[in-house]
Amino acid sequence: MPMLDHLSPGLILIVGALFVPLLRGHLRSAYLLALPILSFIHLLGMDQGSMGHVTLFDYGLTVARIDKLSLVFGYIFHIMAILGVVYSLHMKDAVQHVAGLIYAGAAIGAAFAGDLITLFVFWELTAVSSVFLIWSRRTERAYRAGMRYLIIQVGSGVVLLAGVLIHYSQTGSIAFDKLGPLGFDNLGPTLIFIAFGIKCAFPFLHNWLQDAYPEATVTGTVFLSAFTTKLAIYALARSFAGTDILVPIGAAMCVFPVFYAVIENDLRRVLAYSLNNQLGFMVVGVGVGTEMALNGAVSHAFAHILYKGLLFMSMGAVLYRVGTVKASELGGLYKSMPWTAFFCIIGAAAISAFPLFSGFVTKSLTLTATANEGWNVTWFVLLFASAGVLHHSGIKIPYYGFFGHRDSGIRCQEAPLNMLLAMGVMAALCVGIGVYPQPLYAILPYEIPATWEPYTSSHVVTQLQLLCFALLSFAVLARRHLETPELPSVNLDFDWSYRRMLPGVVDAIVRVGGPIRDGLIDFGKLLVAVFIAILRSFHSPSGLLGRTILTGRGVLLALVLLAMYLVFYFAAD
Amino acid sequence: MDGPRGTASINDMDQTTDTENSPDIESSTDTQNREYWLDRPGSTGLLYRILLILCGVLLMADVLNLLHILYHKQGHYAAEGWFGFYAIFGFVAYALIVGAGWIWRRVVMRGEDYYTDADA
Repeated sequence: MPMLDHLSPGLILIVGALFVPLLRGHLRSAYLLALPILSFIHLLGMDQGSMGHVTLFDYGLTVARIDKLSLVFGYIFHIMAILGVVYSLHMKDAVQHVAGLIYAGAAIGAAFAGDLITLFVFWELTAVSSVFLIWSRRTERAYRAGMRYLIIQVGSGVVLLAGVLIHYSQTGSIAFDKLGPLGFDNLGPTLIFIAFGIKCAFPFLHNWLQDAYPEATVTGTVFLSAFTTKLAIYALARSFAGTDILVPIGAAMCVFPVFYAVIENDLRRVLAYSLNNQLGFMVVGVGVGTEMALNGAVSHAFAHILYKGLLFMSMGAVLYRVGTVKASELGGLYKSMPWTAFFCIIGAAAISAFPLFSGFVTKSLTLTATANEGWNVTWFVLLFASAGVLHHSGIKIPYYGFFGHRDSGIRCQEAPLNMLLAMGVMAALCVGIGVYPQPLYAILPYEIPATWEPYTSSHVVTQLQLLCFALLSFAVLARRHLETPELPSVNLDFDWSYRRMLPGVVDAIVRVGGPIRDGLIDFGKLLVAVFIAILRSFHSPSGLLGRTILTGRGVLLALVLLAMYLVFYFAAD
Repeated sequence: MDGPRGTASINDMDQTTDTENSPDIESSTDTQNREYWLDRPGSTGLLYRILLILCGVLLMADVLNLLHILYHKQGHYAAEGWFGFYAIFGFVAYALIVGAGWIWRRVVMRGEDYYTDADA
């Protein structure tokens, strides 16, 4: 397809999605599936290199830059788009189908952008298309969460554009390549870094994620979990690999969500915190910046999209069948949804990095690179965070989702067949990558050294010790009922600052400032009233200057003046 | 026969109820009356004992490492070589996280409708 080589690889999905509402029934299902598969085949047929050079105004754009780094993300985004479509085939809502495909296409387009302007266009398109996956829940709550999400996401794009323009004016380049260093004297790259940081859910810029993702639809959250944040990881790896500040940022991201995930009741929100924690591992990898660390970050992103997607799918299936994913209301669901529970446990084992699962063969690259480069404290932080992952995603999700302390009595159907199929393929990939990681290693941006072997006896045993003793810790605590109980609650996070504090400050300003403003206005009114009264005293009908004088008096006055004039005239003579 | 939780009570939880489908809670006598292995008394105790044995076996590896037979632990840091480092780290880290959860709840936990009256 030589013609298509000059177009962005995301365009097939974006343009194709627009025709979805015209189709119905099985035809639509076939079309939905065909789009990402066709797009994937097209991508596999493309040669490496920079293509699609377009000149827009004075800017030379490169809409398709195909290299090893962009290809890995292109592959996994396509796999996710295909499985996401399979997962949502039962759904009749065309809005979500269109939004999901455009969103996936935009993420793919952004991953292959060769310049910052193209990146900006797709960056904003991911924001605008994905918000419909939240709004499609069609509740007031989802509408408001979507609005907050949209403001922050579009805001990220605006910061990106500002950074790009400043960078262009200083260097004359819009190439989407290594940027930096960061600093106030290098404002362009710094703003771009912040824009990436918002989408990557850096600490204090993170809360849109936990706020919006759990409010999206059953299928919407599955799509959301894959693209936005991993696109940000890709952008950081492309432009800021080896930037030291990323290491402490990533370490912080690994740790603080753990403490929120422990106490969160909404299991899809637990997964959102878990997602944030996983991004931390990748950000550390990008920050360490060696070939091995970048391979670690990229392979982790690849494996993560699969197992996190699987976990969101399983919780989505619960939400679809039961109507809630609150831990406090679930329990014993494995009886009704055994397959969903089974796939969820595989996803949980993969994210916890049990040997023979995908997390094990990818996360270890990052950890080893971190130790090799002498980030000693960070290494221990990552090890601690690994125990945290086991807690919230490895145990909490499957345990509270399908087992629990008690049987809630909820009996429902197993998930629809298409959902089970998508989850089954995801689970197979999680195990496949874990058992046979070589194909994944082969597509990573840098060559994996021949000496690297994830399955050494030492690595397997130590990892099993870490995980099994953490499991034992869980068992001991659970038997003594010392686990944090499932309570219906809201936990305050940074979003409190803009959902409560800022409106509170505005409210306080209005309350204190209101009377002051009213007083000033009253004082001004008084001044005007006094001024009017003074004017009135002179110029009113009865005032000195405004009075009407009778003609007779006027004649008399003229006569008197004339007489006085005559008197003075003669006297002077 | 309806389960303890009928469809009506599920629909009442409209905050998280999905609108694209009505949750189809069915009362299948099959799953209602079937006996599950996990529900039997003693099952969880058995699982617990299996886990204990597994942990014991894994700890044996560190004994072999000390005796320099069959298994040699490789690590980047000296601490990794200590007896039972990963086991103790995993156990303590998990307990710490749960303990921190209890404390953190006291700080940040609010009622479920904390935001609802204001903005959602």
